[in-house]
Amino acid sequence: MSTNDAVFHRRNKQIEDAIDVGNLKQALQLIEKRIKKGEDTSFLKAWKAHVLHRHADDTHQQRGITETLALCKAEPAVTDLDTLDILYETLQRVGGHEDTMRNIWERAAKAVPQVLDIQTRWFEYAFEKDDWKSAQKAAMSLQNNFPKKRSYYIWAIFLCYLLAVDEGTSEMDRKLFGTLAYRMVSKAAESVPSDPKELLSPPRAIQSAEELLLLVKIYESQGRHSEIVKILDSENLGIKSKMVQSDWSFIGVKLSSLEKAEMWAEGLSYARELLAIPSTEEEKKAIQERDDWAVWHLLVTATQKINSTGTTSETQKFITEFIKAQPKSRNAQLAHLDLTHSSFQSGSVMQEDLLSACQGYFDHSKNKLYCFDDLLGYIPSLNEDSVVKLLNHASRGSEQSEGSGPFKGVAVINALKLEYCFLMSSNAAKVSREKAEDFVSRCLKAYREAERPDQSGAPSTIESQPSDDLCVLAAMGLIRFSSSWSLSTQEDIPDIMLIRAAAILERLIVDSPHNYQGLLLLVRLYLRLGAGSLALKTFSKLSVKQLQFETVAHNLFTRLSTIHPHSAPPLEGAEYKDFNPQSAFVQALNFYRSANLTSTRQRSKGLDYGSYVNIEGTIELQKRLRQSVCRRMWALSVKQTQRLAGGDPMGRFDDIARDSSPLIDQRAFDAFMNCEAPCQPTFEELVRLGPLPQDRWVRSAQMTDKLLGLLKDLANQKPISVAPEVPSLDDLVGTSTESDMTIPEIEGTKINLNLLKLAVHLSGSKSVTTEQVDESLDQVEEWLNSKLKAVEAEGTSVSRLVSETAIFLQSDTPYAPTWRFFHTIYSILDSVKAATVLFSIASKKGSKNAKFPKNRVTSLLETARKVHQSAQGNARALKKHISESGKLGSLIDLVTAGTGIGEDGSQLRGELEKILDTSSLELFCGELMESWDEALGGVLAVRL
Amino acid sequence: MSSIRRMSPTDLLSLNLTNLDPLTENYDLGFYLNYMMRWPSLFSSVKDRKEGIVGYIMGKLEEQHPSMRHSEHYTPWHGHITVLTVAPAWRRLGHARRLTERLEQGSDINNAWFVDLYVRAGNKIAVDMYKGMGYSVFRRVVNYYSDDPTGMSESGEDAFDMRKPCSRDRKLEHIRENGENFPVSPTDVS
Repeated sequence: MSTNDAVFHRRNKQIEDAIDVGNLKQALQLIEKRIKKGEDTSFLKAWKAHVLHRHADDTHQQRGITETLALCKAEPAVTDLDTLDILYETLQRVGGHEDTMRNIWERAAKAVPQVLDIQTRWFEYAFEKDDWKSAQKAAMSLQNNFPKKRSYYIWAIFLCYLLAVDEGTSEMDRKLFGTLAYRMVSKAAESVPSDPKELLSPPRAIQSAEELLLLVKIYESQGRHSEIVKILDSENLGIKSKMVQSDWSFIGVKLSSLEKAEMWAEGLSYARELLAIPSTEEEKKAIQERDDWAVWHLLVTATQKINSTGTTSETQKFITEFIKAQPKSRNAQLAHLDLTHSSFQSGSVMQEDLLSACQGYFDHSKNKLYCFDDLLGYIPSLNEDSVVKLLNHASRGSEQSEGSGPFKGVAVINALKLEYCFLMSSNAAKVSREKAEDFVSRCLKAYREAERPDQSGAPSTIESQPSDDLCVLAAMGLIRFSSSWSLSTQEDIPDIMLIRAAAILERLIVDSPHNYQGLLLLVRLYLRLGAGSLALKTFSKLSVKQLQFETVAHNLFTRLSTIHPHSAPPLEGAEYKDFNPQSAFVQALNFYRSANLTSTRQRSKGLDYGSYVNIEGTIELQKRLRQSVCRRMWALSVKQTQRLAGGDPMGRFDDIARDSSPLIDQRAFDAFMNCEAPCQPTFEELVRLGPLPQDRWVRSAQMTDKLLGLLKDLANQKPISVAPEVPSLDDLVGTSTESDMTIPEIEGTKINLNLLKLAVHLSGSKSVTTEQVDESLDQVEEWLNSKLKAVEAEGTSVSRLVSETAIFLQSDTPYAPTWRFFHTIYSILDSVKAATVLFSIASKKGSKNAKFPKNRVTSLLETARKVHQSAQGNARALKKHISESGKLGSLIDLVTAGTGIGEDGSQLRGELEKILDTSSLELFCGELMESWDEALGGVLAVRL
Repeated sequence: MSSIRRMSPTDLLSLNLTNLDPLTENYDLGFYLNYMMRWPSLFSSVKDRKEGIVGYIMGKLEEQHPSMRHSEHYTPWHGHITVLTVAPAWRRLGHARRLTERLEQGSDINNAWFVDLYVRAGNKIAVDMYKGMGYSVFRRVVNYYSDDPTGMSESGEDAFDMRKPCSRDRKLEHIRENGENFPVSPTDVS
């Protein structure tokens, strides 16, 4: 470093230090001093403008913006990299100057086209900010000015493509850049030497499989599927070319392009060529790879589309011969079934043929777990008589099963699933108690008799076994078909059956600790039972982390803030997130933040590696995570847990919680077992805790969050420059009967909206009229009174709320709480807390904001406090009932003997007694009681 | 009714059936994306028509640092299986073999000498499965895993470095018999 550089850096350091400690005045003085002394550079001017804009007062800020913009427009254009960086940063802070942010780089690049750094920095900034238009210009500039580096040409093609497929691009630009991408990439394809022996390829020719895949993407986006087929058939770029070397990905591309181009004759011929019956050892090995459903799918679809008797019969013959040669092929069997099914639908084969094909498939696949799911698509086409015949066939076939090892007994599992689906679920209301008990008993008996490998030697690698399905099926059967004989009138699924099913699943988890179908269902059951600590503990066994916060966590997190907002007792050796909902939400939200950063980094790396298609995929992944409904729900939920259970302030998630951009929903429930009849709700849907939260849920929670934010500002006497907008009730709750909210949530939304109107009025805003204020005060009063009535237990042994939401056996005494109790009471308390804060602010002596009638405010405050006290009284009463003597014994009886109208049949009782040993059952029941007690303690901890 | 295809970044949102199994690690998003950017052809999934992704393989191409060339344990240019997993209900259907063969083909195209993988020496099911697919133990990496789930050892568990030669290794220079009895230290292979 020269002396001059050292001096320059020392002086800059002084300014940086002043900025870092927030001494902007000093920073400004230091800069101005240097400028006065003659160092009149654009760098110092840009820095000065930046410091001015960082000031808190509007005058300085405006000066900063004006001076920054003047520098951005200066002639000649600023070309110093550091100056450009400062200008860019200032404009980023200001916001709303996106065009200028692009222009400074463009002007600089034009002014000094030979400076690579400016153009690469321009490209990087634009690419990282998803500004495809600017990045495309930068890439074009790079490929023009630095033609020797071939990747710039490909980047330019890629950016044209990104612009063409981006929803934010105008229609005209989409066409323009689409055409440009197509022309450029086609030119790159044409430049590939036709002679494969030619070693040197022109720089602008396609040189890698990744670049060829980019071409495919561009062509696909323009519907040029037949052109893709042509290229993949060519010598220099085709599947057999040196570049592709028969990579299966490209065979997949050709198969899908043939289908999309509707080239049925070519498609059929290509599929048959790939599936040619092998004669040599090498061909036999190759067929393993080619026996892929993508090939069979084209074979079947092309045959169906050609739709001629000759072709269909030829294809069926081809499949039959293939099956003879490769009898184990599942794909070939399914292709046969697919074609038979479509022929049946078109009337060319009879019911008996389809039945025979289904029976044949069962015989072929009965020892594989996929058999049931595979048959699901075809059985609904059979008439009732044929279904019965098939089920009888399956039942007989399962008894003569030759499965071995872990597959022994799988045929029975398949037969039981078919029975559940097509005999019971399709006609659930008519399933008698005896029939349901018999089904559950048979599942348990088969489970008990199933051989399990001795895995005691390697506990960490215990694999789930096929027979695990029997326990899950038994639990499902008990839950699903018991409503017809249960006393419960509150829910479709009786809570008592949830307890019994949970006991069965706990038994399964002892044998098969990693069975996630069992664990997920158990989490749901515990949540529905209001046993939050057990739900948390069970969920922790799934070790959910990273992307699973998006894909799996919703199974526990949905409505957790109104079921168990407080921390459960610590679990030995567990992380905080495993027992503390607030920590779990925070960890999930941290994942989204780091995922965005890491994705951006990898995208940029991907450009260097030339993985264009995966960069596009990463952009899509980022978008989905940014707009994820889960991300927003977890931000809103963590704030609610903080309101109800206390803990660290969660203001850092305000931006996510208040984001109003469209939502993307990626919640999947595929890890739940489902054997419900087609067209029926899935089993997972039946055991949900209320409807699946979506757009309205989020908007309502955002309104509540706004209310709480405003109340906080009012309480802290912060100046309210702009009061939040008050949304309309219809926007939040809607008029449709199909809601994504529970009744307590809808009620909470209504009351919180009234509270928001009052708070906005209290803030001095004129957007709420006096009439609206009076109306809202009336509605709040009415709501508080109605809630007080619901939670008061005077004169009766239990409150209305408890009688509507607790578990009752045959007596009038509540047995235990449920999720409905907690959800309702926490929803009420959340609004009561908000009302209390609002009226406390309004009642403050001498407050400028006291705009409501004093007496009314006092009375409302009093009622709110009574609701709080009575709600906690409900929790105390339930706690007392749980700790009554004899409770444990009665709970154990409930699990084995059942309750409701009469006792269970001896068959089920006998099976349950065999499968559930007394000490485990005592432990299960004891833990459940403790969990209820602990959950009720959470209600008592809510402070106003 | 299954199909093998390349893994895409958005496929990472569909890994419940494989990754809910606690024996399959859920890595940081950047880890998966790094593999997708650097070795996209070695990251494949098997998709069931109805159920989504039921298995995947994730691999890379690498060689040991040139500074190790003098070492007798030097590992030349090869394909490496980082993750191979199949959802519990889809095991023993040949998916692992098909996924592995795809990675082997990708390594062959890239002129690798062999494909290797590390497996816990005590995981007999996995070791036997790989042997069935043509892999053999090349060496035993002593105390490679810091934990030992069997509780047999206090210092950790050994790994088997298992290899299958690619077509480049015509003379089978990079495999050996009885590799189980050829112990090396973790520092020799890092």
